[in-house]
Amino acid sequence: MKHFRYALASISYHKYVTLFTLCFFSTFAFVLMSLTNLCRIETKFLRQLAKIPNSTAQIGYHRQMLTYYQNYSLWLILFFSISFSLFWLWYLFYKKNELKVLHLTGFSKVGIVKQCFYEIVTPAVIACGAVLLAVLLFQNTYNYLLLQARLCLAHSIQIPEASFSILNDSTANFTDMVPSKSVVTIKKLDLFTLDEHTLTLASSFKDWLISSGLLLLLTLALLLVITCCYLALQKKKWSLCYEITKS
Amino acid sequence: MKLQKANRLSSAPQLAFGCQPHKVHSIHLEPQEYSLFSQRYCSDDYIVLSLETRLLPYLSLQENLFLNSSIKKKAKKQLLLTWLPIFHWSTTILTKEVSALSTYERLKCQLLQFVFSEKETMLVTDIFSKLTVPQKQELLPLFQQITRRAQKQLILLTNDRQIADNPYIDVKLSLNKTEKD
Repeated sequence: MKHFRYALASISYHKYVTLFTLCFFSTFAFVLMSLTNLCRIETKFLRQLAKIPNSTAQIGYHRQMLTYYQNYSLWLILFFSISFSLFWLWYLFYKKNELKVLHLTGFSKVGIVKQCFYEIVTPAVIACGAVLLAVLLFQNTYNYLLLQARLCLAHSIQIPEASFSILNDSTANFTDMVPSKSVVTIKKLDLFTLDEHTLTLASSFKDWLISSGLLLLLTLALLLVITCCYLALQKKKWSLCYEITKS
Repeated sequence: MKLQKANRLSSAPQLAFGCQPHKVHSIHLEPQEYSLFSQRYCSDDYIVLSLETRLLPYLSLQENLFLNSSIKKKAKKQLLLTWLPIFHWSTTILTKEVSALSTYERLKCQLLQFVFSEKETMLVTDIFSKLTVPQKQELLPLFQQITRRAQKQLILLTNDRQIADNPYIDVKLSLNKTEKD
């Protein structure tokens, strides 16, 4: 509890660092969450398409999109790990004097690591929570953005869109499924099925849990390794011997 | 429990030095002897008084003084009331920002931290060359007050004969003599 109190004081004292941490984590949490959401949409599509005959080309198209998203997520996670490690190294050097004071006033190594952990995880959790809140509050805007991003991405990757030509052949099937409207364009149909099944609150929440959980776990692992190495390296410099010899 | 404490005391380094309990000691060292001394007596049982800051800028001064101590809140107030006058400070100092303190005030804060901590021995390195004469005249009697009232030991490591032979020093040691012991 004492460490948590000190960490809170430190967070409010180093405002710019806290602000940066908030931005850093909220950006990564948002992008990763969107990517997992997109993955979910594609798998949903695939599942629906499996029921429709003569749709192998479209299945191929969606599968290709899915692999792209998965690759993007992996690259994003890698990028996050590298940038967080760099940020954390900078942070340790930035707080060198304060860590030294903690060490010399008799805090144990575990205590110092604990305090560092609180100092970074509290803003990270707040950032992830803010992302969830924003997505839940602006659900419609988020869904719209997501679909736009999906279209943009498909455009930039330049996968030949198989949906139109193939689906045109089987339009009859779809119009049967939607009895009230005689003419349904393919795009509308896509959106229709999406809104119904995919982007509900529960699935958004699930995606958020997966992505921010992953980010926090990574943070914890990297923080532990880097901080322990750093403290082990500094131990000689922070010892009593060094103080006396230096003077 | 008692036995443990006795063991800790008997292995405590102040006895190895030939130190006496609750006294101010001085050891005159030549510049090249500092590293020899630190190699021989380096241990986590001491606190070192140094010109570097030992305060966290994001905590209040009072919290800084009781950093890592397990003293209860009520006892803290009592301790501050008894010790601040000895340090020639009024309670208004506690409202000061940590970053606004001068080097000398930070030094005194370190001494207060030592008084409130569980460590029993403090090593004082050569800080006197950086202090003015009135500051030295305030600090040396303060050392004696601390050892008497808080029942702790202070050891001054200095290259300066004048400091080592000061009337406020209770026991004068030398590195060669401790070697014989």
